[in-house]
Amino acid sequence: MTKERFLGNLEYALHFMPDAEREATLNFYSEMIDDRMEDGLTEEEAVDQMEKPEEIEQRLRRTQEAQSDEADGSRENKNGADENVDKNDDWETRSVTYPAASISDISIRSDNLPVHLYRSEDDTVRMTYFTCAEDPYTLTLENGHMLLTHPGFSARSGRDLFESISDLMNNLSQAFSGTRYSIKAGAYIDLSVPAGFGGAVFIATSNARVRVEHASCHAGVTVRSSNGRITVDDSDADFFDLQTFNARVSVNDVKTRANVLMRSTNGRLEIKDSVLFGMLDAATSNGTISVDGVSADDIRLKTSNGSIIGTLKGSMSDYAIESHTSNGHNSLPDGTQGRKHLSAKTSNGSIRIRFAE
Amino acid sequence: MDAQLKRGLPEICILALLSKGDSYGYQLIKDISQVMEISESTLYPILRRLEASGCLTIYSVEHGGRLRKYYSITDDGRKRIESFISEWADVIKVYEFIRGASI
Repeated sequence: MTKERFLGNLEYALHFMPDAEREATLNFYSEMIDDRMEDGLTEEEAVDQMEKPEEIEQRLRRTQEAQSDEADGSRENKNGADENVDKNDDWETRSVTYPAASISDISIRSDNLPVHLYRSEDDTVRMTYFTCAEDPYTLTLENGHMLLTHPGFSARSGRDLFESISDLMNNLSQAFSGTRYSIKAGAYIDLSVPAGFGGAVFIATSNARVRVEHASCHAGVTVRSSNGRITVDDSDADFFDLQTFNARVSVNDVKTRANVLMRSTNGRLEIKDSVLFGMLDAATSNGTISVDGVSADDIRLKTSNGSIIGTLKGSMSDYAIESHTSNGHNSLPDGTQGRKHLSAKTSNGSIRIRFAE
Repeated sequence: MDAQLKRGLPEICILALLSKGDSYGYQLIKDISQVMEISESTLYPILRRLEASGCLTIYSVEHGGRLRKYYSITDDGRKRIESFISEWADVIKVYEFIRGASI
């Protein structure tokens, strides 16, 4: 192709540009071809080294769009439609709504997006989540099983300079914020379910926080995390099973028909103002366990390096108490009789439990 | 941050080349190919952006019966390089920390 022909095609392709800008762009490409010819290439060879006019058009359009997006700032997520997609840099927000009756269980596997479970105002289950090419989340619903997951880090290949740099930045953002892929500040997964929702809910994260607020589930809520904090507030469910390794578990104002299980390894466990018609089973290795205004017939509190403190409902004589600490003060007797069961054990820490009607 | 960086690195590379002396489009593409492949349609918007942000100026010189555009780095452009390098020292420090912790 001759240079003249190429520039003619390019001029046509760049019609979206203002005249002056198109003129400047054409001059740039003209010069690029001239310089190659001066370097010893034939006209045809020089033109061959150029991208196709359509490719140039697409790339320049994208650049222009990216810049005007930046100038606009980030746009708000539009809610209400059954499904919508909102582009924001490389990240997209997706929001999906289903009738609650069509769902038997919900599973979320997040690495670094914090998860928020709360009550919806209608009879629908709605999931809103962020996704991007580097950390793609996919939502499926099959036979009543709703699953939000993503393929993980290892699927990526072909690391060129930019990818290894972006890896670096991901690691950096992890080091700074405790999240690895949350390059986008404020990215999250939101799940709302109607009051009395009958489906089981499973939430797993690697590094992100999980919050359950004002939720009401007839089945159980199970949460697993490695480094994320777990918070449950003003909620009821058949049971709560809350386990993390390196973070705190906090429960406040909760009712269950069965057990509350709280586990951490290096985090504090705290539960307040809650009524359990099952067991409270709280165990950590390196953290204090705090109970305040809790009512349950069977309470088991265990840590190794931390204190056990707080207030239980009822009087001490209600409880058959087992308690032990190796190094610390212990306010509880050991071996008393009572209808309810209380076990409080630590190795290095005090036990200070009071009783209040 | 990520997308910004993808655009940011070629920009700094262009500025680094210009800090050694004025240059023109094709020469920039050839010189930058040592560290990364970049096409005209990538380079052109970068040059426009750098010009718009005052990091470089453009002048034309007659050359072989035509005009060739030369790009020249400004003081602001040099400051961009300096701040990139000083930020990068922190990045490397954290990178080493992460590598050390994950091995």
